[in-house]
Amino acid sequence: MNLIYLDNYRTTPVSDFVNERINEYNKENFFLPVSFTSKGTEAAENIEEAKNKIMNCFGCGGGEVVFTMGGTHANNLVISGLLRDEDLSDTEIVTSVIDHPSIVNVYEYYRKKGAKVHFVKVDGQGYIREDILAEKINEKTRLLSVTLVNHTIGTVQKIKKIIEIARNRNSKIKILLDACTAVNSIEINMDELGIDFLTFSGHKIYGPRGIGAIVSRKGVTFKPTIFGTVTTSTLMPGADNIPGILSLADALEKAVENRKSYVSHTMALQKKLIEFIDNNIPDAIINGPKYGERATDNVNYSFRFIEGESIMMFLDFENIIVATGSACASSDLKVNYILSAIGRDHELSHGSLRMTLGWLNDEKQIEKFCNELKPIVERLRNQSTIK
Amino acid sequence: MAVIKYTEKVIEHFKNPRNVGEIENPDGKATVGSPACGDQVSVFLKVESGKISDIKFLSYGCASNIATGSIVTELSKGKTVEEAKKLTWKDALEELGGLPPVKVHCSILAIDGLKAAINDYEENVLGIKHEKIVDETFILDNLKHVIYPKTGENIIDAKLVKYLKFEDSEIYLEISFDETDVYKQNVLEEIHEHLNEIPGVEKVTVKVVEY
Repeated sequence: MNLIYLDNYRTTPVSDFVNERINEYNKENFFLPVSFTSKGTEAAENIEEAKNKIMNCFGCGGGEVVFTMGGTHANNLVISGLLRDEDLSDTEIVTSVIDHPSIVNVYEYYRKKGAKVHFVKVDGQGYIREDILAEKINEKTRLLSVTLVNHTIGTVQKIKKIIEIARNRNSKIKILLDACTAVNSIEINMDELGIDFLTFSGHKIYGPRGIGAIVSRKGVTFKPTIFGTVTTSTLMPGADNIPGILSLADALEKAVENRKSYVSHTMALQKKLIEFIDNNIPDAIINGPKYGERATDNVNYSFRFIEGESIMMFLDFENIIVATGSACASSDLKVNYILSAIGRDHELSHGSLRMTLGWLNDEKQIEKFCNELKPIVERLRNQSTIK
Repeated sequence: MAVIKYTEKVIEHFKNPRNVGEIENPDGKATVGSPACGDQVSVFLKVESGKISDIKFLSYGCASNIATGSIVTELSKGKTVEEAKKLTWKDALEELGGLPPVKVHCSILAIDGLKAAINDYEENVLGIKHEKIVDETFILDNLKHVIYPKTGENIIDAKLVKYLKFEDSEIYLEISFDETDVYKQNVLEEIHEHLNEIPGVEKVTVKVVEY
């Protein structure tokens, strides 16, 4: 039975193209850029080329790229680096209530340390409330962090308007954009939008694992918070993962090159999936914006009267992998904070299922998924205490 | 070694739960838990000559909740009411071959449902009034129903509860967590859920001591 993998927001498989590159780099490009020897220089040149490729992909002219261990690491480095020498009692930082944990949890830490931290509310579809955002930004606000595509409900934030509001209130505010779940489907031009820092990760774009990057706009930087031997960057000391860096740039270029076809591919599957659930499964409520407005590779529904881990397990028996927002299936047993923030009660959060689409999915797989899902939902509803 | 996955028996009972459904005109019935907390179990009983002649259950919950509901009905069917009252969640857990620590709390609900249904039978059919003496021992027993997901032990055995006082209808409790403990919120919610239900308790104060 072939695997039907509908959890592409958690991680994507490494593409054959990237795998070939990784193997090649592991054999031939493993040297570190620490000397002016031929191999050392070659490594330095290769890294510069990778950085330029990455900046080109994000419309960032003359900026800088810092390689990290992934998206979480990247967001942590930027936030902590910006706040390192600030008087926290006189510092404010802003994000939304539904941003990624690699932002929200860092903000929570700084709240405990004395900074004034604002988690801006979102509307029922997960869009940042612009009126509240405007209220929360003032001359003391150091940073606004935004996750462009919400990792649970696929809301694409209206980033242009958000930045405009932020800069109108404070022209010096720094903008951090987490693009981890956005790169595959959304074009981002940092210079046009005025984004100071963009973070992304290899494993979400069919690329290498354990590597991500911070792309900084020309003239903006943050302070180091980890220290050691510097190879390519004082902001991320230590021996660089050269095959990772080079293949990350390849994976990103490929994602950008294929973006248009990725969007039409995932959108067709998304349409099929949403139409099936809307027309065949009663008491199923879509989480996030409607079709046509949400990220094309994200589908999220709450199924009333039943619990998500049970649905997920039955699908797993059919070799179909999805995700759920049920507290029962989460690592900390907490109710999903994103679904709560858009107004879903506990029952609806527990009964939620996230299907995230990608290159390996096709129409037949979606048909198979739909055929399996309906009887599973019916069966669990039959044996549920709530009707 | 801790169980880190669902055993084959758990999966089997989850896939094919025994005794699912309702009983018309049951001798005892009860619903415990709530959808807000993520799981709920209803248990229905028929009692003939002091024995549980039929038992059925419904479940809103995850795989371990459904599997435990199933195994509890199997374990209690045919037993005398007195024997069934002695069943514990550990018996259910053992019969299933264990559960991952983070899932142990789910196994408690089915046993609680069985006990509550028996209670209902005894009160309504036998006319036995159950008078509870609410004191610190009673409260401690209640807290033994709150499982620490990290280890799968109850919070008393896991030595998380450092101090307990019950005075003038008020419970005051001190509990300690490591600063990075991800289960803190879950445990606190479970404590409130269990203690707020105790008759005669008007206020529950839980102080968290982080170390």
